[in-house]
Amino acid sequence: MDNELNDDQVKMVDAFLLTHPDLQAEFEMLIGTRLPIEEFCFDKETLLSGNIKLNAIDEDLLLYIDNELTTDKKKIVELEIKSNSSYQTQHQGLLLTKLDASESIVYPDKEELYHRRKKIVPPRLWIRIAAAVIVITTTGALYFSNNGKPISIHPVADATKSLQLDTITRAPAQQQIKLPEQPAHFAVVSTPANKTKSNPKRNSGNKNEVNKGIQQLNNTSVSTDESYIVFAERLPKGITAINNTSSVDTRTASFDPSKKIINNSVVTSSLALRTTREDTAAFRVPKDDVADNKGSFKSFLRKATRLIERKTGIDPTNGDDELLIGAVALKLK
Amino acid sequence: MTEREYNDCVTQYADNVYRFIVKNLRHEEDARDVVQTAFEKLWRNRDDVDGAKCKSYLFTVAYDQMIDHLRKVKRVYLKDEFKEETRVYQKEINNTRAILNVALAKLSETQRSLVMLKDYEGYSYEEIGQIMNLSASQVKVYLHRARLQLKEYIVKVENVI
Repeated sequence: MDNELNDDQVKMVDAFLLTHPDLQAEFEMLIGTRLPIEEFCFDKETLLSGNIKLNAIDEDLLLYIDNELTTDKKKIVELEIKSNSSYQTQHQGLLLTKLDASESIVYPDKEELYHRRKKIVPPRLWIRIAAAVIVITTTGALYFSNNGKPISIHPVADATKSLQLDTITRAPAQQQIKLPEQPAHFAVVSTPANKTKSNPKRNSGNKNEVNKGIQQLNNTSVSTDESYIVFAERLPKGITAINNTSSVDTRTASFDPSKKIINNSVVTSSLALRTTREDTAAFRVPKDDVADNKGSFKSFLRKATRLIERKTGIDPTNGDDELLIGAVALKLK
Repeated sequence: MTEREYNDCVTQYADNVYRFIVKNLRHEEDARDVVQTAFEKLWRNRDDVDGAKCKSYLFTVAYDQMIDHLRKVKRVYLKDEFKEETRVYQKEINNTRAILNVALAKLSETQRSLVMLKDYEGYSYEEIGQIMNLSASQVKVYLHRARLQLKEYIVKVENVI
């Protein structure tokens, strides 16, 4: 079947098939598996020498187009391109086959490809330390401010609205401080800072300074119909400027010099001496808010006194359950 | 590869991979499927893939997916995505580009992929060989043949015009 036998061997196979006719059919089946010879036509023109010479492109030029040449060879090719016109033509023809890298086709829905997981990032160590420091500092400041240093609650008012100022007068004998008659004022309160017992000598010194301060206040021109606040340029130590929030008529707080002054807070005001006249609507707090503010303020003071009593063992209130703040007594209940 | 690196890969290479596949398959939906599959595979194997080599990984996977897809489907959608400039007085560059696109479509998948990986992505022969599982010399030979075929087609068409 594969034509690998000589003539004698072929005759022997033929004789064998004649003696065994049952194997003839099988032999013919084997012969049928041979592939037929098929005629194919191929364009030989492009392979002819003339055409091959025309279409032949220097391999270096192809490598140059593909940017696969070394620097030295690249320079040689570039020189050849400049000098040889046919080489230049070939180069330009090959350049036409290069695709434009700037051509872009945008993927329609890029969002579906992203994987974004929300991570809970624990705060870094230094952030935790800073937060702890802030908390401790704030707590300490609140604690010490409750126990010693004066707290000044500054009035919250619109810039365009004006302050309503009060006169503070003091009886020379009793050191009374008249609180303002006008309603809706915001308090500037100071609380005693230190916990120690006061020095009587120091107290008398303070009394003199208070008198001087009062004289200064009295000497300023104040109209009875209008209300002003006059601030001393520098209030002596121990004196606190008080402005109450109540809308009640004139109240006075009595100060008994014979009683021990427990809290001798040092409060200084660096406000400049001034007289100002502004509209009365400045600190006009709604009545509901006034009541709430008073209640919360008193409860705060009650808590503060209890804290002081617990910590120091000293009762800052007098027999009438009034909190003594400098020269002023405030009723807690 | 971190999640962030993966998302950077999406931002940087999704369009490139999509361009490569859609120009090969000439079918947008099929190309999108192939690209999605490639990125899913990258995400699943992100621990084994270095961030710096994610581009070649993507193209390798996308090319394999494309070949598998073609074997399954055994069809080519001749979608008219590319504007063919038939009027002569159009700008030359657009005309040449259109003819080039037509010529590109006439190449085999292998030759077309070689030309696109070389010109669009700037890969070397070796890198293309790694992506397409060919030797560097095979890449060189196939690519050169592809360029000659493209050149022949373009010259013929321009002569006719």
